Amino acid sequence: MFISRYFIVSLGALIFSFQNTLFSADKNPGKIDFTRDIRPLLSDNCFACHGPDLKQIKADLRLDTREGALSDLGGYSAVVPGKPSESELVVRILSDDDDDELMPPSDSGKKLNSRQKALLQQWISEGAEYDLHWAYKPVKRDSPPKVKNESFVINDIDRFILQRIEKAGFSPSSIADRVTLARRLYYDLLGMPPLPEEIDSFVNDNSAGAYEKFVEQLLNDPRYGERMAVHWLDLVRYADTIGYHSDAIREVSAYRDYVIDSFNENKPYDKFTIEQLAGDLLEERGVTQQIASGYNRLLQTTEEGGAQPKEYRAIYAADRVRNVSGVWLGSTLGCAQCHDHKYDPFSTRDFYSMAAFFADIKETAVGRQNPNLKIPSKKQSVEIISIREQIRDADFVEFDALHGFARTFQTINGLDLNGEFILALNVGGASSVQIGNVEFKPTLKSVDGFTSNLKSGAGNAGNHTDASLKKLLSTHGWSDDPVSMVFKVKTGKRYKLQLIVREPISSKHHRNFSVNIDGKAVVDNLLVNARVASYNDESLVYTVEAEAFNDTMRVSLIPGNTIGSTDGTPVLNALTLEEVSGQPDLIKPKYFTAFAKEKAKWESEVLTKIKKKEETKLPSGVIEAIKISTVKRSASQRSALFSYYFGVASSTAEIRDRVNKLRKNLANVEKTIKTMLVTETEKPRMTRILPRGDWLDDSGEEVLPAVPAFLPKNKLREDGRRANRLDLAKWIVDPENPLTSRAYVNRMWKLFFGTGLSSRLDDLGGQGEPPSHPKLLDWLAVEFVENDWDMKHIVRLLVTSSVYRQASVSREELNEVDAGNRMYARQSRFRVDAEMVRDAALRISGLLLVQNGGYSAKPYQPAGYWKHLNFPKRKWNHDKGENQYRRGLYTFWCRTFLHPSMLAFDAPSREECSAERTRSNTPQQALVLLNDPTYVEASRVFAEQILQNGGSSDEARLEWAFRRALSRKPLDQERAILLDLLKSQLKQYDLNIEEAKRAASAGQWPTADVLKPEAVAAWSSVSRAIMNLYETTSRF
Amino acid sequence: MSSFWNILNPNSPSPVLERQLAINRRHFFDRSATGIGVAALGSLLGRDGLSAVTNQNSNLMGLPGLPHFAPKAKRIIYLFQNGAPTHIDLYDYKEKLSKVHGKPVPEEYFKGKRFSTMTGNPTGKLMLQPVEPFKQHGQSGAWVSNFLPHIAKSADDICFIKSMNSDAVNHAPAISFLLSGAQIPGRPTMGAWLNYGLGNPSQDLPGFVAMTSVSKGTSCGQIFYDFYWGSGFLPSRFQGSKFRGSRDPVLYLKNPAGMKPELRRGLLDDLAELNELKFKETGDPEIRTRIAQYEMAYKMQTSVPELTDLSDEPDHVLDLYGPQVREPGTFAYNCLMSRRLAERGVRFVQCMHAGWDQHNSLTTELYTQCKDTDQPSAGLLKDLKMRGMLDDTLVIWGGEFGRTPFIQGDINNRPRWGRDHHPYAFTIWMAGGGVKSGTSWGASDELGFNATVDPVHVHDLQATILNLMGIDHEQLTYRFQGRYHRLTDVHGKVVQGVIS
Repeated sequence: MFISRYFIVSLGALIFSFQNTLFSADKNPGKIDFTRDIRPLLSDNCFACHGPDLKQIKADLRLDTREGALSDLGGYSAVVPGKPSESELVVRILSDDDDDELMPPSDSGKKLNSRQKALLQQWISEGAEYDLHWAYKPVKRDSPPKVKNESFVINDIDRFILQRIEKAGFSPSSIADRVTLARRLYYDLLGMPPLPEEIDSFVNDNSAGAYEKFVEQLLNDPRYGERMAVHWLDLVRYADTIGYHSDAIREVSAYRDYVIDSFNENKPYDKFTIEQLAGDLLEERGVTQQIASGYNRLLQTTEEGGAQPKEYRAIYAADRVRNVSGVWLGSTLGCAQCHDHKYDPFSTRDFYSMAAFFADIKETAVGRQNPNLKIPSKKQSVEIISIREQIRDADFVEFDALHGFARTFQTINGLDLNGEFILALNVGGASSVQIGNVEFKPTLKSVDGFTSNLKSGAGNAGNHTDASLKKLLSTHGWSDDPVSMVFKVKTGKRYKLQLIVREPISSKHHRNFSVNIDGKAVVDNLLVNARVASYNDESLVYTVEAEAFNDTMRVSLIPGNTIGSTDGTPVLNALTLEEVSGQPDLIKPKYFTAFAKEKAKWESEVLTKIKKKEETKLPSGVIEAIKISTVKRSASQRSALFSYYFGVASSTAEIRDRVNKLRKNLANVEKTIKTMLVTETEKPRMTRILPRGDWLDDSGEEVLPAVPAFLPKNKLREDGRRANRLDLAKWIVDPENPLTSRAYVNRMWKLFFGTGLSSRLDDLGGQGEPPSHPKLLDWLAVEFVENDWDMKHIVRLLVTSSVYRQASVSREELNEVDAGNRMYARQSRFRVDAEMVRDAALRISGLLLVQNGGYSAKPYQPAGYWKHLNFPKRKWNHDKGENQYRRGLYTFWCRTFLHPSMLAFDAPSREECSAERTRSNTPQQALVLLNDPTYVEASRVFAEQILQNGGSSDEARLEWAFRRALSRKPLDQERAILLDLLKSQLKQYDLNIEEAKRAASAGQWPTADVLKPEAVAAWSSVSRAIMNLYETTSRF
Repeated sequence: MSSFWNILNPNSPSPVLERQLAINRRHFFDRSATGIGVAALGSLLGRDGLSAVTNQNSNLMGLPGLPHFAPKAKRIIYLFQNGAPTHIDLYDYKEKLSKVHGKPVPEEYFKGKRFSTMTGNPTGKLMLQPVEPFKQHGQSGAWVSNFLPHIAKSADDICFIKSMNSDAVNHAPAISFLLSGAQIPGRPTMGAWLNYGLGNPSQDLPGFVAMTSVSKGTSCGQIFYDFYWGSGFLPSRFQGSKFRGSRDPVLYLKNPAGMKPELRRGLLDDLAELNELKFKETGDPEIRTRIAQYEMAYKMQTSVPELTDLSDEPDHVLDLYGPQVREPGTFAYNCLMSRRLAERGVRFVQCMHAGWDQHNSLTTELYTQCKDTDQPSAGLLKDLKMRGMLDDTLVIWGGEFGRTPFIQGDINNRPRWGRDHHPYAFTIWMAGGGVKSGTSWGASDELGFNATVDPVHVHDLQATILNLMGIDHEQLTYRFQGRYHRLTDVHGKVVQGVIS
């Protein structure tokens, strides 16, 4: 046995010597690298039974640690460093005894080939060194290697790539021509092909730095954010429907726009991460952060009647763990749901501890997820404010001031309606104002105290001399109705308005408001400026400046959206308006007169009737109140009386009518306001380990939020407080986290080079692929972190490198050794993503609507495609106007019935994190490009464009069309083929004008009636041929 | 270097193989660049000896080394009954149920088991006898209820599996589980796996076709989700092509208005020539695939209308499927389509019919449901047999789970009798393609509650189906999210007892 074993070992070494050593030529040829050569072998073939999952472990043997592999198994060991012949592992993998000895066992379906066996033996002879899995090692920047061909190097990326190419005895490809580069950059950075006028200056610019200038221009183009959003939306599984069962529609498009804006603004990745995972927990949070926190709501949910809430809670928790680990860590923590991870050191405890971070998210387990953020557009804000202004117009101000006061007055001791007020409260939507037991003493003294306190800027509740005023303001200010104050000011002077809002840090309550001074003219500014908040102790201080247009200035606080309502009450601590050089005076408000008189008269009439015991037909509460003398009435009696009479008085009839109409308008506008599902918190639900992932099993141990135990800096908090999503997010973007930066730059590499440096974008772990250029990957990761997570910086580095600029043309000598193009000695080429296929057709034809953001769009879709959607039944009504021509990424994303054209081009249904799309090449794609009305219409409109703008000869027109679609002139052969096609099509359409008319009127876009239908029809065939070329929608 | 990248996963399409294919394709083209019209290209690629290698990128070629052993069936027609047909009332005859009718369900049968929220805890629920009487049929003496007279007559061609059981209690997860091996959407379904592994033998049709129907007027039709025929993480070319229930079954198949076929043909020829020019410049093999796929698309424009043109079907054949066969979108029509697809070589036809969810309509809608499906199912078997196709076509009939032997509803209100979801025992049947005909496998207990004799779990069924197609279910894998996945997850045992 021992003899034969030696024999086999040497045979193995022999086989090994024949292996293609191109890859391992990196350093020290032939030497085993554990990460590259051995770990994948062990992981694939052994770890399922001899790996980190201790429940599955067989024969008490672990091969994932050196300690385990070397451990004494009873007089022998699996691995004896330096001595393959004495290592049981070697005996077993070489065994010819199928039943007992052989490893891996034949019934496992796994089998080592002779080269793999040789590798394992060589590894043991070389000492059986283990190494921490590459992705979990600290990210470390090595200095870029030296290369022979220095002239190739533009930036350091080129050194890493070129070194490998040179070692293999090859040279890089030449730089691609300008047109190819321009098209490549357009597709890669903007997601659509360029029009000639967009690239001509670059193509003809021979000055140094022309390329860099062009790249910069594209990085600053708003289309960049749209293009980059696509890959992110795949990762976070963004969709417009809930996924399970009814797959009901939900509105979350604001999140999509947040992603687009973030890429365009070049938001640092750490901030981008924190806002999404924990925007709702940030101290400084505005609407943007709330929208970002919608990330936590993007998962699939159910509304199915019979579904069990407990089960779906478990499903949601697991979904979130899979997604957060996939998106940010490039890890498959999801595998640890039922058992410890078989290939990576993630335990089941890690899985459920990660789930616990999300246990505070308030949501409906089974049922509708109600929108909890309103996001009015600027136009809507202006419209709403304008209607509210109308509600507050002259007469109405008087009434409404009264209305507000009348209600307030009930609790004001010692003050009468005839008393002097220095502050006018204007309550717009009186019906919902509840003053309750507020004690209100608006004396001059208290207002003085109020303003002086403001000037000190202390903003501390305790400093207020008059707590009740503060309380009143806060009650009004944070209700659903605006509050206005009128100040006497000097025309033409500038005033500074300052608001101090106290908002306890522990509060889960957040509210936006806008500030309005004297109507629309300053609204926009104030809305924008008011968002500039700084933190002062526990208070938010908002400061805005405005010019006085009159001698009075009305400051209106217009409440916005409430986030959360469970605890904590934000309080408007103080408000001040001051001239830059002086103090404002407060003036008297205007008062009502007619109504008060009419009411007094009515009261006495009613009283008379009552005394005469006549029928009054009044509610008993009103009668009771009237019976009591004015001074003795209780607050609620006063209120009841006022409310009733206001509703019937003839002096208020006109106002009532007008106001009702305005309120209806207001409601209508408010109905159209965009909503969003954002993250709100509640008391964290208990999270326990579910044995074997079984949600029915309550026997598992309870866990608290924690990050995977084996990763660095895993102790998130020292203070004993329960760790939350914000802690998680900060840990994810901690520079010491080895996974986050690697996962990100690896994906960026894939976007611009076709495959990731580690080709498994969703798994940097043991079952992933060791990077082809580990030092480059780490170099980029460090570069990313050290530049404050600057995403555009990484993109810029990649696309300005020499490697990126190479031609993608096949090279025979490379094909033989590097068919997968992992050496990057040429650029990759591929068909572009589904969205870009659509964008290309619309762009080339001129139909594309360029407009960032907005509601999801509904392009043409075959009738009845949604027929099987139920609960409720619904119909796809394609967009009629310009919305029909939106970019692909805005397409309404229905998870169960994704638009068939998107689906055909491999857009994922986004049920799960999709780090990488497949690139299929199917007959369905051909049918889409040839027959989907979108493409039929585009070719028709393109034909019209060609005829109208392409010149007078067919040759000139063809050239114009080629330049527009392909950025180049046709080759002679191409010209001949297409002119031939044109001729034959013209001939046939000439014979059948009716057919031509049908072809020339495809789609809803207005036809160019000056053109002859047979010409449009024939040219549509030519334009269609051009648009269907592989080249048109591919990136070379 | 290239070899290094491949040792990790022998099953994933490998760059080397792609490269090999490109060379073969190029040789083919170099030899034939002149003289062969590009129009003829697609069929040449598909039919001659080159097909084994040339179509790696299209639909046609399977994995090397597959099938693992000689297959008994070449294709499958899965008559999937969505909503869970009641095994108690249709196939799994239990004499005792009549005796215990109206008595509470014994606790020992359901202890520790999970039911849908509609039932919750079954304590105190009353047992319900079968709605219609059963009779024994054929040589085999199989018990089939009077609900299904036509299937009953075909009993000798059928193998009933009466000990099926599943893990899921709600429809979508259970259907997903049965078709893809996982309750949560996102895994490849059976048809996708088979086409991935074995390739598509059809010349001008996709290898995996799904069709759907619902009984008219049913109150319990569930949704048909795309993921029921999805390719999950497999490349999208393996997903089922949904043939819609209309005269226009494939999306975007029709030429646009004003584009006659001859115009289209000229356009495609020129397009192929233009694409070929680009291939010569770049050497990108994807361009060649593109050319072939445009040809397939063009062929489908002919083959699909031809497929749906029933004028070549004589009345005596149509009549086998019953009166609804002439109406597109019905189960009968889809059964006939299934045969026509099978005839044209399509590997996997998934013919789904919804409306079996009788929570309160056993004595009403179940009759319609059976009427709509009974004769077409039996007719399909007869038709296949007549043509000698039943030998290598595997027909499977069944739903995602069964229904409770106890009642849902009021036992005194017969018109509203119903049964709830029940995954612990149910019946499906198989016929043709390597299955023992005229037999029955496994059994449930005397109340039809739990599968007790030779239980067949969903994963076992999947393993058996793959086995009949010549595939070892443990060896057909695909790596995704860090591990190798298979249709049977990490379970499944081939049920040798049903294989002839």
